[in-house]
Amino acid sequence: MNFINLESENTLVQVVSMKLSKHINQYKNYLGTAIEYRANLVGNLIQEAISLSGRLLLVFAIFANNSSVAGYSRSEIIIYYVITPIMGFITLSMASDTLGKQIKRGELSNYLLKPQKIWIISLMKNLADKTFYVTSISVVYILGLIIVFYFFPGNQLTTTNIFIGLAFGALGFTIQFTMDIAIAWLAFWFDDVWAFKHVKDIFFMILGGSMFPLELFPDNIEKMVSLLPFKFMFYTPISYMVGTRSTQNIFGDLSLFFYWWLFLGLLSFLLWKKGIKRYEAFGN
Amino acid sequence: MIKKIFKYIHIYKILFKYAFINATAYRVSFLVAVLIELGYSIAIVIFFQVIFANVTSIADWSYYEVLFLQGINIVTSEITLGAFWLFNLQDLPRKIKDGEIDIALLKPFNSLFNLSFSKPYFTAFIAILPGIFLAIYSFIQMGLEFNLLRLSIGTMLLFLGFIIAYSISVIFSSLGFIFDNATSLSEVGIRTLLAYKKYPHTMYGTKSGRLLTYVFPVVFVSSVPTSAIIRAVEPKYIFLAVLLSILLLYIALNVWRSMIKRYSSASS
Repeated sequence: MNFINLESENTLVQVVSMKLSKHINQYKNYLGTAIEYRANLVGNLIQEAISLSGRLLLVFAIFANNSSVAGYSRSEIIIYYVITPIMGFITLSMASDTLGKQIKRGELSNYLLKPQKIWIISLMKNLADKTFYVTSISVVYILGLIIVFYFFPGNQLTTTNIFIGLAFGALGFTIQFTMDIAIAWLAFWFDDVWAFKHVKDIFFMILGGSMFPLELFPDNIEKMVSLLPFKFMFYTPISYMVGTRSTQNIFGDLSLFFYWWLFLGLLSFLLWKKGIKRYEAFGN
Repeated sequence: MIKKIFKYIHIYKILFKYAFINATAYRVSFLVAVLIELGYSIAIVIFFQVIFANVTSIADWSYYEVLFLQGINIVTSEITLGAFWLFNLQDLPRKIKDGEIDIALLKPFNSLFNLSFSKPYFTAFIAILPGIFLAIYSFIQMGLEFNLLRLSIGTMLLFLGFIIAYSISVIFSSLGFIFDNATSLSEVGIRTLLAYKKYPHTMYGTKSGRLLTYVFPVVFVSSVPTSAIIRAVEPKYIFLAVLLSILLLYIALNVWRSMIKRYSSASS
């Protein structure tokens, strides 16, 4: 007679749910903090609207004398720039700023005592901030997209394209978060990592597709840039979303993503292993 | 009045000296900071380089005219950020929340001066050099003749633009007295300046042009002074720059006074 060991199955389920619940509770706490200062959300929204409107005015000025630029029509570029801020919210990671300061000030010690990996704590904080911002601004963006559909009816913003774009946006966040964690661990060697964060931001601005679609680069430069991980922050997800990137590229993009994610993950792991051995904190 | 002006110039010289000492205490950090500022300037230049690889002009401004504008824009951005924003007005909401304004109010000089100018970001003043070099390079490439009158008018307009930028920043930063820890709300002013002043003012249409000239006059910070130096400037812009700088400064000072009156400390 076979006995099904129900007790051990429940224990396994309980263990998994216990592990998940502490991360989920962490996430809820950070979400509460994010909601606390709501006025910042209004300010962020206004800032994004200002930045976007400046770009759009530039687009109107450029297309006053040109019917297309690097294969993009006016409506395609406008939709690209309208989606850029929301994609920025999805892919943005602020891990290096916080973790770097914690290492520098010796506050990392507190987190080392907790029954959670520090990178997971950082991930929960990032996800909580992201949930708050994306949920809060989604109403504004749905309104914006309705306006876009009304003024530019020939666009290729289909449900499938939006889904693929959002999926790649999530991958973009994964890569940026992993990169950010690696930058944070450099604080074990350097007094401050803010410089690396700014270098990363500059690369994302130019090579990530935030300032302009990568097709505007000369062909040889575009080919080099397309092999780097930065394009996953803006260019790749937005291009899929607006339909300017063929779905035949999905497999190639996924392969490139996994390659860079493994590389950055391994780098981050090695930096942590080496760095934590030399970590010192006094008086806390 | 003159004595007071000299007093504040003397105070600022001392504050600037300390900012220099602090910034250069760690030489590597200072050098890295300068390179980062240079990196952001290069990013702007690359942006317009890529745009002009695909178009020949923006609102009738040629490549070198826009490049000259970017040189002036870099100079005005760095002075704006370094002189009164980065370590001063940007930090105001946090200081209000933590009650650190009390110390500023107790000092024997103007609180607005203290909270706006007491911590210059020295690195930014070094970072204006690439902007100046870019402007000179573009000017040479355009093959224009040096005109002292135009340069003087442009410099005067730059100074008035600086007053406008400062006034706008003060008005928005003062929102920190009303909204608790509203850092992003108080940054709206400076972000608007940085977003719009880098483009040629002739690129803006009728409605946006009026808004950015009469209501939120950011065009006077970089574009109009640039136009005065390398193109031509209508006399009405000179008149408007003088009028708007005085008006906005008056508004900023009054907003500040009323906000300080309603400030209550967090028991520091």
